[in-house]
Amino acid sequence: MKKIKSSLLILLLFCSCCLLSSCFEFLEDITVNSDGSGAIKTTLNLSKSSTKVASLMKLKSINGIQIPSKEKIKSETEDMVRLLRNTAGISQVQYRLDFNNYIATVSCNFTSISALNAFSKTLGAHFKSTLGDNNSYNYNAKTGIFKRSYIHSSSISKAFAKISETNRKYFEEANYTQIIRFDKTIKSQQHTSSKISSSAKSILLKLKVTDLATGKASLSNTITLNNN
Amino acid sequence: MNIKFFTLVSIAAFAGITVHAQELTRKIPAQAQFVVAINNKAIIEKSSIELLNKTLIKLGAFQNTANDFDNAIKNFMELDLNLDKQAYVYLTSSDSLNYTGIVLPLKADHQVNQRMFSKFKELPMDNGYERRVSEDGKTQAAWNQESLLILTGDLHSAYFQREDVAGRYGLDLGYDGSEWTAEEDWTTEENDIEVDTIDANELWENEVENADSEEVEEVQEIEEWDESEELSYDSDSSYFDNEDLETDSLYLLNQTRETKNDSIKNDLFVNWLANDFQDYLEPQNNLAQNKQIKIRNQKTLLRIWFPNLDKLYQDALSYNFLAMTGFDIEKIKYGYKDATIDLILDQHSLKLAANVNIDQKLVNTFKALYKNKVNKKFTKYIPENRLAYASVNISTEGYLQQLPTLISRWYAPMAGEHAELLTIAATALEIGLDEKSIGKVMKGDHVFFLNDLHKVSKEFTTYEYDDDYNYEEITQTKEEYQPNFLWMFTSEDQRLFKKILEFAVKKQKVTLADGIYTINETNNMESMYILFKEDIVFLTSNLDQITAIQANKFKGSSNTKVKKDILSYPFNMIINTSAIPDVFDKLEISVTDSWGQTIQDLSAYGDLQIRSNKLRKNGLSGEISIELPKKDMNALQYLLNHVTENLDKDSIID
Repeated sequence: MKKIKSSLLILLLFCSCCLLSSCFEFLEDITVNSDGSGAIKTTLNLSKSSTKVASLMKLKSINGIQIPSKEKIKSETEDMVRLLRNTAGISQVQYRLDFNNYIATVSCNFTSISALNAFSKTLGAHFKSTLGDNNSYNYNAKTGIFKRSYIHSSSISKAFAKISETNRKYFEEANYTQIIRFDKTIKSQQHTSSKISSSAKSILLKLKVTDLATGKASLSNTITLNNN
Repeated sequence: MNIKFFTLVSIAAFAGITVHAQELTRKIPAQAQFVVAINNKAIIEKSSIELLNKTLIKLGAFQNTANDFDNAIKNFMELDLNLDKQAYVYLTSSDSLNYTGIVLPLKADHQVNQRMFSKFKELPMDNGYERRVSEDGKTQAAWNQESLLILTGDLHSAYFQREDVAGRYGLDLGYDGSEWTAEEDWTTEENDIEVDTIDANELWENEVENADSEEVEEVQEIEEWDESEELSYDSDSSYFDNEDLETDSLYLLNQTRETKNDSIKNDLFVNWLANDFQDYLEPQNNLAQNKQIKIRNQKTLLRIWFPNLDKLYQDALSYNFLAMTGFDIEKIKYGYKDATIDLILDQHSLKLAANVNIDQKLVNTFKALYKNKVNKKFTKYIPENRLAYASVNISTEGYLQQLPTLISRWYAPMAGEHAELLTIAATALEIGLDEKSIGKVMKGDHVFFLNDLHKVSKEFTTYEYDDDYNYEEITQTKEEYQPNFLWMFTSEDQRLFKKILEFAVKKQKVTLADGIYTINETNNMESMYILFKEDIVFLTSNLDQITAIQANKFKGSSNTKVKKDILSYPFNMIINTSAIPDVFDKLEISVTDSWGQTIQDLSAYGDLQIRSNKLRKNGLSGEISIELPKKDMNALQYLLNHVTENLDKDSIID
C-alpha cells in the first residue's frame, strides 16, 4: 500500500511540481487491520494552486516537460485503476478527479501487505519508475510490528536540483502527509517527525516535499503495536 | 555555396544613404518581386564598425567561410565593400525558378579578385566585368570597379511536377500517364499481393534500363532477391518478407528516379542561370528611376520594397496550392499595390513602419470602415494606472455595408466552384441586414485598459484533523493577484444587451443592483461588472471603478498621449513593457528557463506600440515601435551589445 503512495507521490508530485511549480498537498490515509488487510485512500490536492494549474494546463509543455491534458490525466488514471483492479488482493477500487478544484483521489482495499507490495511494483513498472523498488511495507501480525522501509532515490534529488531557484521556492508550502490507523494501540514508533494520536491508534507523519526530494527526510519507520 | 557566405556579405554590406545610390539601382531588374535596400552608412554611424564586426563574429558569420574566402579574411573591415553606399538584395521569380541577387558597392581600390571567390571558377572577362562561377554552377558573381553582383537561386519544384513540364524535360514523375503504381500498391489488399509485385518488378525493369551502371547492379541484386522470395510465398511469414522486399524495391526505385530527376533539374538551372546572368548584370529594364528604394534619411536603416503585394501573393500561391486545386489565381486581387517596410532607428526607439498603396475600390472600402469618429467621452475614463491599453475604431455600419464587396473580392476567388454561391450569400446578407440599426447597437469604437493588478481572495480546499487524525475537507482563502480591466464601447441602442442581461438575471447567472449588473464569479473567472451610462457600455473587473464611473466620481488621467492614441488611430495598442516582469511574478506565470532572463530584461524597456494610421490618399500605413533600454548610445547599439552579451553567456553555459 505504501508503495502505491510512493509511486503516486513521486510520479504525480514530481511531474506535477516540476511543471506546476506551486504548492500542493499529498495525503495518504491507510487503515491496517490486525490480520494485515486494510484500506488506503490517497489524495493529491492542488486546490491552492488552482489558478496556476488552470493556466498551465492550457500549455502543452514548459521547459521541455509535457503538461498532461485533462484527457491524458483521465486516461492515465483509468489505466492505473485498471491495474489496481487486476492486482491480486486489491478490491473496491474507486477514484475521483475534480478538475474544478484540481483534487484527485484514489482508494482501495487490500487483503494483505504483500498484495500491496506486489501492486506497488506493478504500478512502479507501469509508470516506468524505480521508486516502487525503494519502498516497501512489512507487517508481522504475531509480533504486531509494522515496518516501512524507504531508500531515497538519487534520481529524485537530481530532478529537484534541475528546478530553478525561483521555482523551488514554490515547493516550500508543499506537504506530504501520511496517516496510518490500526485497530490496536501503538506501543512505540521510531520516526522523529511522527505523532501518535490521543487514542494511540493512529499515527501522523507530515513532511515537507522539499525535505523528501532532497533526501533530508525519510519515510522509514517501525511501529510496534500492543497485543491487547 | 555556403549560405553563410551570403549572410556575411549581405550583412556586411549594410550601406548608407549616398548620392551615388542610383548607380546601383540600375542594376536591379524591374521585375524584382521585392528589394531590400540597406542603409550601410546609417548602420555604421549608429553602431560602429567595431561593434558590428564583433557582433558578426559572435554570431558566427565568419565561421566556415574558408571555402569561399581566403583564410586571411576574418574581419569585416577587410572586405572590399564601399560602406558609404546602399546595398541591395532582390528576388525575381518566374513560373520555373527564382533568382536572388545581391548588389554590393565596392571601394575604388578593392581587391575582390584576390580575396573573394577563390574556390570559384574563373570565367572570361565580359564588358569590363570579372566573372566567377561556383563549382556547382549554381552561383555566379561578377564585378567591376564599382559594384559586385552575386546571383543565385532555386527551381520551383512544384512547377516540375506538372506533366507537360516533366514531359518536356524528360523528368520521371513516378507514374505512367494517369495510373499511379507505387502509391496504389501500398493500398492494395492482401489478395492483390502477387499482382502488385509484378507491377513493381515491371516498373523496376523499366527503370533499370535508364539507370546508371552502378545503380543497375544494385537494382538487379534486389530484383533477384525479390523473385526468390516470391517463389516461397505460401506462408504468413513470407507474406511479410515479400512486403518488406517490395518496400525496399520501391524505395530504391524512387531513389533512382529522384537522382535522375535532380540531375536533369540541376543541369537546367545551371544553364538557365548562365544564360540569364548577363541580363541581370546590366538589366535593360531596371529600377534606376525608382525613388522608393532610395533611402533618403539617416534614421531608416533598412527598407523592403514590394512593387505589387497582390502579385507577390499570387506568385507565392501559384503552383503550390491554388493551381493544384483549380482556383483562378488571376482573380485574387485584394487591391494591394506597392508597399514599403522601413526599419527606423530613432535614438532609443526601434520602429517598423509599413506603407501600402491600395486601389480605388479598396480605398472606398477603407473609407467606409474608418468613417466614424471615436466617442470623445472615452477620454473621461482613462485610468491612472495602465499596464496596457488598446483602442479600435472600425465602423460596424461601414463594415457591414462593405461585407458583400469584401466577400466577393477577397474570399470568393478562394472558394473555387462555390464562389458564385458565396457572392449570392453576400448579396443576401446585404439585403437582409439593417446596417444602420446594427451599427447603433455597437458603433465600432472600443477602448480597453488593462489597469493594474489587485488582490482577491481565492478559496481553496485543505484538511482539518481531529485528535485522532480523522480529517475533513475545509475551505480556506488565500490572496491572489488578478488583473483589473476596463472595456468601454459606444452603443446608441442598448436594448439587446439589457434584454440578454435581464434574461441572465432570471437565470441567476447575473445580479442587478443600483444599475450595475454583476456577472457572478465562477471557478475560472472573477466577477465582472457591466454599466450602461449615456451611450457607453462599460465592462470591468473592478467594482470600485465602475461604481465611481456611475457616480461621476471617476478620477481619469489627463495624459494627452493616451487621449491622442485613442482618438487618432483606427487601431492602437500600447504595452507598458517594463511592467511585464512584475506582472509575471505576481500572477505566478511560469515561463521557460530560456525566457526567464529575457522577461527580467524587459523591466528596462519602454513602451511597445502597435498602431495603424488613418487612410492617407490611397495609402494605408501602420507601425510597430519599441523603446529599448537607454544604457547605450542608441537602440541599435543596445541590440548589438545585448546580442553579444547573451552569446557570451551561452558560451559560458556550454
